[in-house]
Amino acid sequence: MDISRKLAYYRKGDQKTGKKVISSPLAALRDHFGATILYEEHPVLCLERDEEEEQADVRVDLNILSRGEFPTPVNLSECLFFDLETSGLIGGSGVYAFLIGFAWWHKGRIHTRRYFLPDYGREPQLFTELNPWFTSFNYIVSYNGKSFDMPVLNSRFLMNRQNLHLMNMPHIDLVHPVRRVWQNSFPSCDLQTMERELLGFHRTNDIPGAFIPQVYFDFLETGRLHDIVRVIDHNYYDLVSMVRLMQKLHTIFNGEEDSALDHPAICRLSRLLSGLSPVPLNSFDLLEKKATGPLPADYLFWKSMAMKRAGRADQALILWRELQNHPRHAFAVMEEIAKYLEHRLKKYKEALQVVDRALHIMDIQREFGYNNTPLYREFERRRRRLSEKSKVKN
Amino acid sequence: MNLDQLIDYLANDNGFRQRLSKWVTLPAKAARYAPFPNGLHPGMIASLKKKGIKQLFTHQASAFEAVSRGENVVVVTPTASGKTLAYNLPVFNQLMNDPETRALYLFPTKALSQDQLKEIEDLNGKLQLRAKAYTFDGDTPADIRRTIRTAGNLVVTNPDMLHQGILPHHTLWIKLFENLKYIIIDEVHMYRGVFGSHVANLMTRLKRLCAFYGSSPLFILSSATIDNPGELAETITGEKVRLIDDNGAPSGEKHFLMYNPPVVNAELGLRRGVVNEVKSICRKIVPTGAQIIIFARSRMRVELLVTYLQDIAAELGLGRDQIRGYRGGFLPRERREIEQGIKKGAIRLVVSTNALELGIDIGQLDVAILAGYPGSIASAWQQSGRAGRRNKTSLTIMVASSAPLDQYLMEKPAFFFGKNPETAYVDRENLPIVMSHLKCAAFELPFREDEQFIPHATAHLLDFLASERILRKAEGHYYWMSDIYPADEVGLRNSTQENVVIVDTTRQNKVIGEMDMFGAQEMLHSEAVYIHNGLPYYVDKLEWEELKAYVHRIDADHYTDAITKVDIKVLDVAEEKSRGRYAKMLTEVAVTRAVTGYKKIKFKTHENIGFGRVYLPELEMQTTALMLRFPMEMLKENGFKESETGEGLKSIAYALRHLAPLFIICDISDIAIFSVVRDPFAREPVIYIYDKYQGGIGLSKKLYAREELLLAAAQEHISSCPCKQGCPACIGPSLEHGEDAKLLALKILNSLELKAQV
Ligand SMILES: [Zn+2]
Repeated sequence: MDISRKLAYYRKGDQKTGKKVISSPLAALRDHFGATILYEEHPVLCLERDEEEEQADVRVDLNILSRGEFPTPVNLSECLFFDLETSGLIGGSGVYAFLIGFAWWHKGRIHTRRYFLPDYGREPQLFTELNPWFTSFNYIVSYNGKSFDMPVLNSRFLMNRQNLHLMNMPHIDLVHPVRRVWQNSFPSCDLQTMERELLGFHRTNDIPGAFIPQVYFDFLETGRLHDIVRVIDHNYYDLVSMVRLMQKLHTIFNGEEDSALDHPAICRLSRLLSGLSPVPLNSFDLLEKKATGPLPADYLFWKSMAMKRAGRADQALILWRELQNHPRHAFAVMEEIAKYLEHRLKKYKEALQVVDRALHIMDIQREFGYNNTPLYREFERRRRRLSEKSKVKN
Repeated sequence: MNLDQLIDYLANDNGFRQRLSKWVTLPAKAARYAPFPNGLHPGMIASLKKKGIKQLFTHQASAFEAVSRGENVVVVTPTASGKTLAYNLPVFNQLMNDPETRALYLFPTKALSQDQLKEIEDLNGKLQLRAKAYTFDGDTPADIRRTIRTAGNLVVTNPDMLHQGILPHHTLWIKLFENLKYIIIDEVHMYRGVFGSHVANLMTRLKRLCAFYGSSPLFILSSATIDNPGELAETITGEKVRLIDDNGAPSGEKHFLMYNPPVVNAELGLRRGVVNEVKSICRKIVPTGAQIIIFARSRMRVELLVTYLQDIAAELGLGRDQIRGYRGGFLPRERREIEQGIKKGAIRLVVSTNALELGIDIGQLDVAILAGYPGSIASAWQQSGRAGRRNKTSLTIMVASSAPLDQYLMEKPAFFFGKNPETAYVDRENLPIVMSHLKCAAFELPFREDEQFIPHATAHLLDFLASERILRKAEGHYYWMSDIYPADEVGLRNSTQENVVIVDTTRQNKVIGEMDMFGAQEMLHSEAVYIHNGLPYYVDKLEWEELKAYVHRIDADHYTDAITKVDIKVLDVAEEKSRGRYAKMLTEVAVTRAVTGYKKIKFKTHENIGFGRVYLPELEMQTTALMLRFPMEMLKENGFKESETGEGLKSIAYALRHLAPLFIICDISDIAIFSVVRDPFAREPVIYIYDKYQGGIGLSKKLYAREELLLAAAQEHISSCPCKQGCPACIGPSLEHGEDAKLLALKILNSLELKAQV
């Protein structure tokens, strides 16, 4: 018998007993993480790890930050957090999710479970078992998952001719509320930046996301563990940070004074609040408690607009008068003052004075080449109308 | 004056008639109808009748019947002959039975797909179906894309979008793939050469995904008149396809005139230029009130003609804005405006590239003028089809240039009007192209170990990609193992070879043109004098790494002529055959070319006034070649000296290259030719004709089967050329060969004792 026939026989015997020799890199990974190996035929590594949490506020109010998409407070224990590590960063059906991480809140701890697929073609059995498990949660939470992780996972399920149950579940993508608050505070809103800046957590020996596909390919070919271990840890920290970030979002409007907000965040939030209906005026008070130093002009401006929308133009007027000399808001508030004087107080002459002053300043600016033609025209129209009205009144 | 009067008038104009090498009158053809086929839904018949369609043309009915039997079909139709209904009938009929039906429409260009969407929607409305039709291309907004994916019954797109936007994201298109019943490919004759090879591979990818989702759609194709529409359709789709070429649509009387401009220099064989000649023809025709379309071969020609004609607008009795150009590079809104202007008759004279040759709806005009032979007979007929309102007389005038192909057709109009000899050839198995699509396919869906992508070689190729670590073999499958998006790495229309862009440093670094790498080495090397649009430029630097040539305008008294070293190495012989006096071989070759220097040649006197060296890397290409061998013995018998043989072969080679497109649809720049007296492989004089494309695209393979016809055409053409010592229309410009070249070329050809009759 030649060697190839021997080998064929050898393999057959192997299949008969239903056991596949587990490759040593996989066993080494299992031992390193104290993990378990699922499915003998097409093995998948299952890693579980808990993180103790001190903070235990479990109801998260996202009404304002989600602009009403999630109006009722979300119970943390109803949430399944998820994050993938993949073989490609652009998407498309050739992208393989080799590490599928989940986290959920359980008895004051963050519990994580991650499935590492040590080769291609390991999905079918895992997916079949995951689908029913998903139904024990009511929300799926991700960081930037709406545009990447979810489509990739959905594509993987469809490639295995299965439907992904998560697609029907309400999806809280934390990147959107985070951007609504901190877009102007930090150079980037990626998860690592946020955990460093907001949670004060500094990863050591982390692997940059762009290297991850190649690390997986190297692992497939060489079985070397060093870098793939870093990827698995990377995924763990992503999950934990996500849970903490969600709690962090909750503290913004919960009235506690311990977490400060920087000025750019205060300004973005005030703008967000001013656009909501009904206008949550009391939230401004909560914000002001978290601000450090004097309140920025942008904040005051949006607060004034919120007041106006809430029918408190008399109070807004005080802020407008303050802002009249602020370079960015001068014309906008002059317009508001003029409108208010004209329509509400019918004080046409006073209104005309404001308009004249605005046009005067704009004329000077125009000489320096700074043009805001539509606004200028608008003021000119207003002036014509006001002079008519004040004549009639006289 | 109406068109019939104009034709009478031209027939009596002796000056005009003298220029004609042929006046062909094709008689009117009556419509042939067929009753509504049995399988047609009663609701469908009712709607058709309500819209005044009481019966179908024969080709529409037979296409419908064949599709109903589950056959793929290709319908050969001239322009404006009810093609849209022919391919939509089965689709809409199926939609009446099953509203979940999906169909995918592929048009070769974006402009055409937008135009055809209007027609489909129109039909949709007429038939009162609630099918949803959408175009899906690069301009489709993101929010509409979602709707198209889930709810679009009819998805109208182009191959490029299918390749980059749909197939790699097939899981988003699950509804489409699961319910796909028909794939409509319009103008399939456009998919030839490199583009065709890509599209054939693309269809294999598409069918693979359909199989995955459990659908097996039928193909409905349409083609212009070429020699082998059935064969082409089968290569593109990889399926058996029924040919339906019995066209039942009526056509009016058609006058086709072959117009040869007068000779201005018999010695050099130069004729009056096409542009000037077209201008004077317009002077004759415009006053009759006929609406005219002029087809020019390049965008530049279009611009030139428009400028000339607008200059004489007043003289023609037209406003400047009644004369318009139409070409690629216009904004969609501009194009739409011109199309409407033509349709409504506001524009009296339109000059277009072949952009209007395809089915874009501009109505029918009275007269078509072809400013130069468009390169293929199929194109010429399609362009001619733009003239002639249904059932009415139409007139086409083809004005010849001095190029060999144009002049050959003027000499032998029978060739043009006879059975169409042009075949569109697609090489499904060009290795570089197959490889790029194999990668895309593996990205889309892992390959099973035993799967076939191309016959016989799939496993080898997959193993190769696995050894290159692009794929990983595991669990009996090949998986994509790379973080690149392979569809972005390959464009369907450009060859894999890159182009050198020409940058004019005197005009804010404006890009004035592009050239393939081989051409760039010869014409754009540093210190070259490069002639662009008739103006000389000096090449300051050819940045080979960046693929940029920096040039500036100069007033030069000379031009440069590159000294190129070409080397052809035969790697393998696929086929060979002796033809008695000569032999032919189909070979795999490696072509290396390097420009080593250049000569400075003075304008007018053509004396050699200097010499320079060029340092550029050798370029190598592996491709297929037809090798023609002329035994030394035979030549010696006929008293040839070695130098004479070289001169003769070079001249024959020029004619062969320029006449090759008579037999295969290709551009002259798709093939290259090389002659050598002492070939190291054959050890005798040979001419190589090779595909100018990495891996070969099957052109020389096709020529291998018709080499005798090609040689006979060259023989006949050279001998009947009115020039004395050779000219650009036969063996090349007289300055580039000796005084006896024409004679020598003919002597060699005559000694071959060719039997073929063209
Ligand atoms: Zn000639």
